Amino acid sequence: MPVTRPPRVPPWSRVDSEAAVAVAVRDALGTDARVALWPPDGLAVALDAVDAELSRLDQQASRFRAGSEISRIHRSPRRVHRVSRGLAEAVGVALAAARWTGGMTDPTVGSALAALGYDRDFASVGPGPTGSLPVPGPVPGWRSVELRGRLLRLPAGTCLDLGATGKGLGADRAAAAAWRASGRGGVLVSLGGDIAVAGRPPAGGWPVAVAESSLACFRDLAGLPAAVPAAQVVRLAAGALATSSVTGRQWRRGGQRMHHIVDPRTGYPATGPWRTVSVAAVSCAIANAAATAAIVAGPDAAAWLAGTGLPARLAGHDGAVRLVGGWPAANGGQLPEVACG
Amino acid sequence: MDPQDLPSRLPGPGEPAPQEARARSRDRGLRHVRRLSNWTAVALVAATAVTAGYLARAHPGTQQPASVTRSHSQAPRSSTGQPCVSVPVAVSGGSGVTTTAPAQSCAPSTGGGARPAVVYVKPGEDRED
Repeated sequence: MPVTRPPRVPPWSRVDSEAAVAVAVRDALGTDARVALWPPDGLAVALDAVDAELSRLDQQASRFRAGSEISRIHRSPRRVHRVSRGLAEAVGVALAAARWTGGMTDPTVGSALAALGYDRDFASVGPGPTGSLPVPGPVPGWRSVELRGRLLRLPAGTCLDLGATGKGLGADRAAAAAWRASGRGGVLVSLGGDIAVAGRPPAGGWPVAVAESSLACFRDLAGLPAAVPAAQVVRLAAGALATSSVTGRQWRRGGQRMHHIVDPRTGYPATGPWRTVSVAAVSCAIANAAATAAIVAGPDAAAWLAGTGLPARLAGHDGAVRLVGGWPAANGGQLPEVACG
Repeated sequence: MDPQDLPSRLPGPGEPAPQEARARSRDRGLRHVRRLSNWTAVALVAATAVTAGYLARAHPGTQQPASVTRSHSQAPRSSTGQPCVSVPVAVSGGSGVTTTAPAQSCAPSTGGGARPAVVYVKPGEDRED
């Protein structure tokens, strides 16, 4: 039986600028992980706890890691699999999110993403050959996936991608684990901008910058700007905040620009009016799912988000900004605390 | 010979032999770790239940708010021992965006304020032709 060596964990770097709070960053899950914690003397044990959670999630649910549990399932000829408790939870959350969003997020977009070229860790994604674009069409659909306890039934040819909820779930798990490990104060964990907090926040909440776009959208222009301003700073006292954007993780395939948020109805990148959506929720998995669903929902996004009651900020390709659910208009404003209804 | 130089003292009446004491200590340690693991599992299940419960209750398309929001209009208090953090500690902007931003006060701002931050994309995030 082949032995899968755990991937090498990059070291954390301290980047804090205030004595009251420790902040550390490292690469993780194809993006960056960031941990902020007070009091700062609990940082070492908190980082160990975060490392353990991220490693677990990577080994359970990364479709880019050949030895991960989900990759082995994709390669297996069997259709029914007994999965680990952690993967069962991750798939269960993805299916629940699909149901909640009316299919605007869907974990069965894995094959569509791979066909579009996002079939490896994003740092390795390159331009595909011209004319290699797949025929547009709906993905298999989350209803074709069955999860009963730890038994997962997956139709032939269906590949799961837990991107709409996976990082959020990872942030939830890591924040809870870090806070338990440190035992006091409060902690914030960000995975590529999907943020969960646990424990007591600093006075007024954790200050978090919200960005509307990344430099990615300017990279193909000559004389690209050195910086893009963040749109707003908000304060997060509890729960989570996640942002989905079509401006990051872009690549070109068959002469077309692609991004990583696939519309399950077409199997192609979503083409709605919103370029970036930020959502606050009780957990980061929910915030992550809601933000991604809003990008896919397009013109219906604001109404759908308003129906959920979640605070959200939608930024359009045309520069228009829409705030719903009590998202603060002021810079430095505190996000409403969201509780389960 | 100084008594402190002796390698070890003999166990007294009713005291376990040194090896047995070490084994008991190891067992206590294992039990402690198992208890911690159990609590970790319980906490994780509880966190998952919150997510699953929310997603199960919330219904797409409904205009009934599935969550309750509470606004915080009053200034935050810092007399509770919580630190005042003035510089954003993270950025939420989609994958791979990091930021630096100037300091702010703890209190929520009431005005629009200046655009505060500079955002950089990690090298290699954008893969264009």
